[in-house]
Amino acid sequence: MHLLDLSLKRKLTLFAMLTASLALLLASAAFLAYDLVASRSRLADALHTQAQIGAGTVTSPVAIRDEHATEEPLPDLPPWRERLSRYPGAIVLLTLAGALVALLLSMRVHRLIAAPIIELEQTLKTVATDKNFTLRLKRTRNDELGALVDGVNALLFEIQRREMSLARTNDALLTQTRQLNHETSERQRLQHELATLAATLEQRVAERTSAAEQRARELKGSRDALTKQTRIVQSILDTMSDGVIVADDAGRLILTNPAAKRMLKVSDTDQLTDDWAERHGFYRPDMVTPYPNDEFPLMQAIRGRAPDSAQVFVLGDRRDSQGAWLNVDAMPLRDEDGVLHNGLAIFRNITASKRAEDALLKAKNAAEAANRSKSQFLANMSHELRTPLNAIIGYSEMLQEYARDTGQEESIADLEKIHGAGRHLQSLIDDILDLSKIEAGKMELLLDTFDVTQMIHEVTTTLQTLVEKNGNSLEVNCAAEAGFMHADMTKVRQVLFNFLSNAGKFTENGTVRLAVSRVNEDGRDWVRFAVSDTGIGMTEAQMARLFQDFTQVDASTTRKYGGTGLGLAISRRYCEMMGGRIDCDSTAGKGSTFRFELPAKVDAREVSRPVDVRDVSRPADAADAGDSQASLPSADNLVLVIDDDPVARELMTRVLSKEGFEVATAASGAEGLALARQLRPAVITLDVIMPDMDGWSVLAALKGSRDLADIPVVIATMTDDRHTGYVLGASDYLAKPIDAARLAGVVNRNVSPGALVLVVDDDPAARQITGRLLRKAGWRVIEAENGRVALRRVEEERPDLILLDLNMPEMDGFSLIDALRRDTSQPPIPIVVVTAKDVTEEERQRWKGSVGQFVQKVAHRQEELLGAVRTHVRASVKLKRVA
Amino acid sequence: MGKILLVEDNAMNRDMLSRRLIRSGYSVVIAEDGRQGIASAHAEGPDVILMDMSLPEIDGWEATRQLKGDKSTRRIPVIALTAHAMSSDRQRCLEAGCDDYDTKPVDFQRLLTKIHAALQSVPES
Repeated sequence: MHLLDLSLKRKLTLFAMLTASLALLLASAAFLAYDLVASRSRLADALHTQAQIGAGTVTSPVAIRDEHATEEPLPDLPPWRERLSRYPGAIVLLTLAGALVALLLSMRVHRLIAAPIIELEQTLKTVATDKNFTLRLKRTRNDELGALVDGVNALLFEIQRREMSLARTNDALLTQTRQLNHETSERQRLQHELATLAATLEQRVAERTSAAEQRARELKGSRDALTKQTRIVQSILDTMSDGVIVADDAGRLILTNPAAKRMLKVSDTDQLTDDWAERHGFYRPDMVTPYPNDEFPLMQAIRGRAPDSAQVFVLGDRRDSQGAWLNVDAMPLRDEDGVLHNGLAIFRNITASKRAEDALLKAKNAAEAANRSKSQFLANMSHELRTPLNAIIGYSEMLQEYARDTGQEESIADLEKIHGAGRHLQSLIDDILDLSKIEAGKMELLLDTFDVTQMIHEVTTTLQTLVEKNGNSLEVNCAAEAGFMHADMTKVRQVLFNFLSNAGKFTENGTVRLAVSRVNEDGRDWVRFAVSDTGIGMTEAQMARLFQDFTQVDASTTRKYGGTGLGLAISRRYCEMMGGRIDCDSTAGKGSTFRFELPAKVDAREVSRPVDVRDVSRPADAADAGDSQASLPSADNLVLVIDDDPVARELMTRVLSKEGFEVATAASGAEGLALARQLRPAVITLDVIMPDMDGWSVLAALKGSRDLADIPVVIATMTDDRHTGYVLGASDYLAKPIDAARLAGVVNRNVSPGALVLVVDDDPAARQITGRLLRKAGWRVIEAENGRVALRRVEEERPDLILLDLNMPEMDGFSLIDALRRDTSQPPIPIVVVTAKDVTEEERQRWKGSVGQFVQKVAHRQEELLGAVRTHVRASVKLKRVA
Repeated sequence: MGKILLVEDNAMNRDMLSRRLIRSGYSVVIAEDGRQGIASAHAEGPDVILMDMSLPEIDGWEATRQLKGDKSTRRIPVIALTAHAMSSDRQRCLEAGCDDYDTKPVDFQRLLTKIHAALQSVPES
């Protein structure tokens, strides 16, 4: 055990004992030393050496052995040794006594000093062990230890205080720590979320980036394609032979391709100025009228209009003095929003085709003229041929009768041959004439509704003998449902005659079959006719030429079998005129089948109308009137006759055609309504008593239709119920049987209602006759005996037409025309000059613009006069209506 | 039977037709052109007129128009005979006032039928 670790009590005890022992030792040593010095002086010199040795031995009692060793040199000291051997015992006794005293004293000291300290130490140890800072030491003394206890207590108090505040602080800290922990976790959560968001964002960014890259790639692709396309378009523009110009809305040219530069001599800096067309020498296709700049297609295009294709003639320069025709197509160019930006014009050089067209037109006109003269020649020739033929046939017939009467039987056969040849010649002429009429477009269709079965019966009865002549039998199979058809019966019969007579002609001891059926195809009804035979048939080559105009299948056939060989060509043309088809098949030696089919209801408007219905021999002035009449739109001049009685329809058609009207007929109320809707006639005449739908119902339907209510309806009936008619909205009433003049008058009145005609003539009788004629035809008439009076009448009420005599007193016809023409405030009144004098060509030319027509004043030319009045009044009324 | 005025400029046809008509029992008056035809119609008062259309002086159309425009001759039926075989000819004949129409060469039986019909249709005056 270390000295320092000994308890305080032991230390003090030990310290007291050591101090006491040391003090006794020192006191013993000092006494011994003195005893020795005093003995020496007594022993003198002889004992010197022995003293020294004795001193040395005392200082090192441990080194006993060495003393032994030194005893050797001390040969003689017997007095000293004795002395010395008494000393140590005394010293040890003394020392022990001293130590005992010290121990007793220290125990007392311990009670006074160490015990309170140890108590203090114990208490502090308890405090340290239990952490109980509430313990306090008891103060028992007022010495330093008391102060120490106070100090320790103060220390403990302070420690306790500190401890408490520490605890509080600790609590606060704990709370804060908890809060902090919460915040930390919250922050962590947020951080996590942020991380997720960041990841999403990153993904999105990645996606976007790849999309953008894709887009960039695509863009590049389309840019490349665009570049390529632009290059292609540029190449097209550069190489195309059509000129292309694009101008902006200010008229600047923003694109001109090389062809345009060549064609139009334009430059890139050109401007669409007001004189553009003039500068470039653009003319109308007539090559004379300068092209108005504003009407030039490109000008229109940059103003947003889409003009029609136009033809332009461009004046040539010196090299190409001929000039060029251009076809110009122009259109405005707009962006997606429809905003106008540019105008585009494409110029195509059509000079070559234009020249070819002109040449073609000339050739066509020449051919048509030739064809016309051919047709006229044929018509004339047919007339010329028929006259002697008439004599041949007539005389031969007559001679046959004589021969029979007088019994000259031997000449009858010869006369029959003459007669037969004459008839053959006649049929040849008829066929040729028919074909040339078709050719010239003069063949007309006379459409009618007829019973197919009835017609077939008539045809077969007529042809029975002819067909059976060669020992043939005729089988007819006409389907019951063949029903009625609306077609040109004469022409249908003619085709059937042709087929049947051919079949009979080319068949011997065989069978000729006629089959008729009705089929529905393409949504309409067709009537099919088929004639088959068991005759000689035809080869392919023969069939190929079968239906051709002016082509005989085989001239030898004609010679052998008779006929013109033109029958099939005519049949084909007839079928085509009626909108039908014709064909055949045949095997040489076996027989042939000829077929044709026609629409059950041939539509007059569908089939090709003859272009020129005028007869070649018609007088020129009548033809003129016909022309001006033809120029009126058909509906203005069209009368629809609705009547179930074919005789009445025929009669009214004749009367009205004679009056210059076009006539459409309907056999029933329903058909009438349909036609009225389709044709919009100027007037309708309506029968009342009809099956299915009577006239009153038709009238009510007409007046109930907004579109048709304006069409005047004339009731034509045997019933005497005017009241019903007028109540239902009829305009006029005609009693049957129809009086032609009244019908004409009523219809005229309704076509040009209230039309007023001024008759100017100095001859009162002439005025009266003309006036009566016109009033009867349905017009209102006023009269004047000379030009001056006429002007007054015109002032009073403006007429629709003036019938004017030329030679009058006071103011003659021409002066009146001059006076009337001076007034330009109103449209001119049409004038028909009626004069007894011969109007010279010069006069005609001079008054051409003012006078509608010149009519010769001959008492019996009422028809012509009426025709002229009709034409001009209608034109005038129509003009007024338009105005 | 009846009196027929035949207006025809061709001598052979005039001769042939008139002889056949006489053989058929009619009495026949002939005229060679339109002017004569009109005169004969007034002078003879025939029951039927057979009118060729292509005539010198005044043609058949005009002659018919005049006859039909005249009160004294209006009632006489006029049958047009024409070598013009166009259907428009028929129309023009009817327009001129003809009551019937036949083409040349004449089918004599048919012509007789038409004459008969025309005679029947004359209204009693």
